Amino acid sequence: MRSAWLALALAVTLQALLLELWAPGRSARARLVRALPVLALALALMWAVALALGTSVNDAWSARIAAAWWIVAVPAFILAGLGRPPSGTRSAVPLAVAQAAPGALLSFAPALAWNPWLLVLAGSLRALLPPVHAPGARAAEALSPGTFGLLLAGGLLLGVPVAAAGAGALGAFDATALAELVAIGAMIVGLASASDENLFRRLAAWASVQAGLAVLVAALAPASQSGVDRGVALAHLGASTAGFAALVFVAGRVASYVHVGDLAAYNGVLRAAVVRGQAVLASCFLAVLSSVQAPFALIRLALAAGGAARLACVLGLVGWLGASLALVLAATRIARGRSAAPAGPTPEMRAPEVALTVALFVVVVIALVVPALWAAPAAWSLVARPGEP
Amino acid sequence: MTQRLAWDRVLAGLGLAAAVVTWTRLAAWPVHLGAGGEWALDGPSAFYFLALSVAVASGALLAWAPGVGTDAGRALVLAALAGGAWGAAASVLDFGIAALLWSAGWILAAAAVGQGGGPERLEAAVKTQGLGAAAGLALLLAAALLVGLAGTTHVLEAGSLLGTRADSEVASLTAVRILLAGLALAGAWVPFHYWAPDGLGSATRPAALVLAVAAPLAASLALARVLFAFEPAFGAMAVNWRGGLFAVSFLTAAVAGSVALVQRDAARLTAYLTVAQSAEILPSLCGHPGDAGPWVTAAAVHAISVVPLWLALGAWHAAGRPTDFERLQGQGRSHPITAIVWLAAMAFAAGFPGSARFVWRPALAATGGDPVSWTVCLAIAALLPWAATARLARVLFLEGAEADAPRPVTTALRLKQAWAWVLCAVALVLAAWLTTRGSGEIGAAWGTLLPGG
Repeated sequence: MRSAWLALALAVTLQALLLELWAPGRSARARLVRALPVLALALALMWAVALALGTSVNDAWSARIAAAWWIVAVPAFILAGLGRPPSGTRSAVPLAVAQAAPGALLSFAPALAWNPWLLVLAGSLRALLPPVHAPGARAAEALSPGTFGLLLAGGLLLGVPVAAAGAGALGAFDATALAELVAIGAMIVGLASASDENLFRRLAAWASVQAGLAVLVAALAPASQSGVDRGVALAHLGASTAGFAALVFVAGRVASYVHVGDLAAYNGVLRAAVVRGQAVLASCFLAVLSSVQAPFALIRLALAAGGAARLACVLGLVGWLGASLALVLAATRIARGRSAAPAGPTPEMRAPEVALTVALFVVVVIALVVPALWAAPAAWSLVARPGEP
Repeated sequence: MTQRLAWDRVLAGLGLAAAVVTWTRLAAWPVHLGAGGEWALDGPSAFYFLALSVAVASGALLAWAPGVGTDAGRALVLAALAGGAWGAAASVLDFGIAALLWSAGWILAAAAVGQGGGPERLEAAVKTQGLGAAAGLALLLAAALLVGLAGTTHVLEAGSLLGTRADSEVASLTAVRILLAGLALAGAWVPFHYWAPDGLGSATRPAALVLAVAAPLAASLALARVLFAFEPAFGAMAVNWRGGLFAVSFLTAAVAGSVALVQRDAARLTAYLTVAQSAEILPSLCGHPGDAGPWVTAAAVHAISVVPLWLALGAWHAAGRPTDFERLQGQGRSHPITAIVWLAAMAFAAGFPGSARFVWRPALAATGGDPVSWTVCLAIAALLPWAATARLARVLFLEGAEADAPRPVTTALRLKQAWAWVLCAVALVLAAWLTTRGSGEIGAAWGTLLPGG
């Protein structure tokens, strides 16, 4: 069911737009101005997702998909420039270039006959998976929550299927080497995120680790006797992206305009707001739950494999554990209650937000329990086979 | 001052007329330079003069914009003459005559750079002249060595004879390397690019526009002829000339693109971007020597990218606005439409989707013979100019706390400013139209303008 990817892209877009339009502390005009580049970014992402679902792979398709990836850089630049207080303008250029780089690489794919390594590289840069996850942390500091969520979730939706398709087409040695690299990166990022003082940087690390695990599974699955296939990687991606969208929406509604992500500022803020506290805890647990397909797949792969592949699975599991722990610890730290209060206007969750949160949770649960939703985007399956396009 | 400006406009008008005549009469000019230096006005040469005439016409129209500066017309004519001399040098088949023509072109280019400015412009002119003299000397030295080795300065004869001199391989390679260094100086390829940032950045904008188009195209055309003539000799001497071209192209894209990122003046940034983008002509020479198709397409892409870029800078300058980043901060918020047109021209030149470079780069990577290496090189060439564009956008729109104080606006002032910007917008639209024809048809679309279609 390929339209599931579009539905997920729509959900990711909606959370970003709603967060921007309801952001506290800004005038209605300011909120509308900030929503426009978010809309442009969302349209570019949805265009790219729709192109990936098509089956007509030719020169025009190549140019369009590369253009769609490139164009993301413009709204990303504008949104980074709009920034959060204090001004995030210093991040505008690095963020925009990080967004443009995968598009630039992808535009050369036809010249390289859709080399699998190019797909892996472009997809990895797009999804910001370990060890090229640094721009995600930069985005967490520079962007407002909705934009941040859209940029990273969009990267997951666009990049991971490409990287997974490329990883699946690699030879056995190359695939193992890629798995080792990604697994080491995922482990380091996952463990390091547990000590990060910024909630949104932890979210970025979590998303990066999930992307890495999906590519790890996709790289190891073809040569494995375990029965794990590429579909597991994509199902993990779909469920994790849905979980990430719900997580960002709830965290974005809770976060102060000024102290976005600063965990120290949130110690105890939720003591007086039971609904928000429960929502944060629930979304974190839900997100962790939505990402469990990868560890199960890794355990099966590790049991059937040996040597380097088994080591990669173990390292990936450690990374998953670290990233999950980082989320749960952050949620409990926010909810356990102390007297400090954040500065700046703080949003309160009211009935519409609660209803939307519940709706997002339903999406996450559906994504989690119906793995068949996440069939591979057709175009990437076609180009990853040598000689097909 | 009024008199000088009027003469400038007359000179600019003459440049425009000459460009149009060149454009329409390319085929009708039988040019003979004598027995030793017969000159074939073939397709690539004709295309060079077509691109030059487009650049001169654009420069002339820009020079008519009020505010471009004194001596813009004179500088334009000198730059056009320099471009003509370089084009003749790239077309002639005799090394000796080519060296003389290159030197004459450098003198004219240095004079064009030095027009209408103070000590800074004079310094840039001196640097241009000095490095130009070095280029001329290198070419003359190469010609002398070739005479010693092959007994002729005719490029085709020297190429065929050089391969037979197995006993003089070191001397032959030295001659070729000196020749290439001379051409690299002309094309402003790293590490021989030092004249371009100062020369292009300091010259009046119309002259800089012409030089930015002419220098890389002429040098690459001359290099294409040398490669065609010397390929058998290179084969006999087992010279990896494609690897050499890759090294020069990579260095040029990486170094000039990186240095562009740390510039503090938009004119110098544009000059460095021009140098970085000239590196993208070199892969087109790595195909089969003698096949001019890729070079014509690469040259067309360079021209339609660089012309709007320099027109936009010229229009910004003509509107009386600063180019140094110190005073440029926040100007985009004060003048959003013109700033966006400027950024659009820069993004177009940098190769953003919808631009000629975006369409052409994938095909170019395949032309070079080693797609993986060229992809790395061209990806760098794509991202560094894009980063420079993003940086300029940040300076224009995100930096600076206060908006520019509004100036008293009159209808006359608006009309004056509109001239340059409309010109820039038309150039961008034309370039976009040419781009929509597709990579394979860019050359063909230009080709229809050439004699005989």
